[in-house]
Amino acid sequence: MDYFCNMDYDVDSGKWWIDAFDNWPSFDTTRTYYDTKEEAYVYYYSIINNTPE
Amino acid sequence: MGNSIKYGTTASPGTVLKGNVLKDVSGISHGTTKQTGWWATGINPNGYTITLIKSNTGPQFWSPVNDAEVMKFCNKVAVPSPSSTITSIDEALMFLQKSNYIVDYRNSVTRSTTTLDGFPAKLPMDGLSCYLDAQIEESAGTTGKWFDVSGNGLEFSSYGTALSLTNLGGYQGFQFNNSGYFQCNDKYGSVDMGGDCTLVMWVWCVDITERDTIFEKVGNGTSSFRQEIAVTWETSEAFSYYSRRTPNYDHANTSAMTKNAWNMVSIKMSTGRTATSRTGFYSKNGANYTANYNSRSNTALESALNIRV
Repeated sequence: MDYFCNMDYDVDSGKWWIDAFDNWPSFDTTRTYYDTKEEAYVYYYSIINNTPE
Repeated sequence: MGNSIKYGTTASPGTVLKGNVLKDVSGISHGTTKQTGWWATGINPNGYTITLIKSNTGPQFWSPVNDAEVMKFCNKVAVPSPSSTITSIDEALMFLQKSNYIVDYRNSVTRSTTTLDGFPAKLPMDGLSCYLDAQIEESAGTTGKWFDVSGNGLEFSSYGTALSLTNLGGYQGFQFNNSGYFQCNDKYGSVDMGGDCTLVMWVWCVDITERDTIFEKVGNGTSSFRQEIAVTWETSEAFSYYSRRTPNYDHANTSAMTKNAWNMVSIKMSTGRTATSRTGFYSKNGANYTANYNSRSNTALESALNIRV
């Protein structure tokens, strides 16, 4: 299960990104880029309520 | 014991300056006047108390019993008198705010009766570097401004669409509008969120539909979340908070806030100004602190800039 870490807009690439913990309990995160804020929010909403045990 | 006051022209830690009156808000200056230099004042527990003090004279007190008597005080007693006759309590308080008089208003039902009027009971003042309170006239009573009343004298200005004051659950608060915020542009370095620090927020929680930053120190050459602190409110109604950057930024979060209720959330962190891992804890509504912090940086943080709320 993926856990949300952070989300922001990258001025240089003009894309939104989301960092997620995809190998918990490792604190390493994977960054995924999205062309639009709306696309990023689809993934955000899908993981924001996930809570590590 | 009433609030302690004395003559002074510069606010010191634990005091609030109004005109030439210093008011003790830390509760440590109580004692005889001869020993401490502070006057122990009489305070009306349910209503107004107006105080005037000058150098080399004793304090003077008035206790108007209602709004009408406050207006009468302004029109008939205050020196200098208002430029035109005051006809409303709002005008009276604005007039007194700009005068050398200091005004207390107490309501023993809804506000503390043991500390300076308007300040929450048991508010720790030692080491307090910033205190913004939408309940306190001196803090939130001026349009476009939000004044720090910790004694540190920070001034926050409104940006974007101005936030409106609204009454929620019996208390006044600023209503978020996805645009407006308050920012401190001077002396922000005195609020060090990069060192050992505690951030306490009182928030009214609704159904959060979009992620927003609720508190940050503006990044200096990078994003705020990579330096001292950034706190975001997620659609899960929990807060995320971030700090430091090298080789990767630190991350943590809180439990969800309770909807349609006031929540007090406290976030405290150990210093991030060394290579040692930073630690973080949160508390909701006064419960024991819970450790929650993913420390991924091994490098001292760089100081950030302005404070934004």
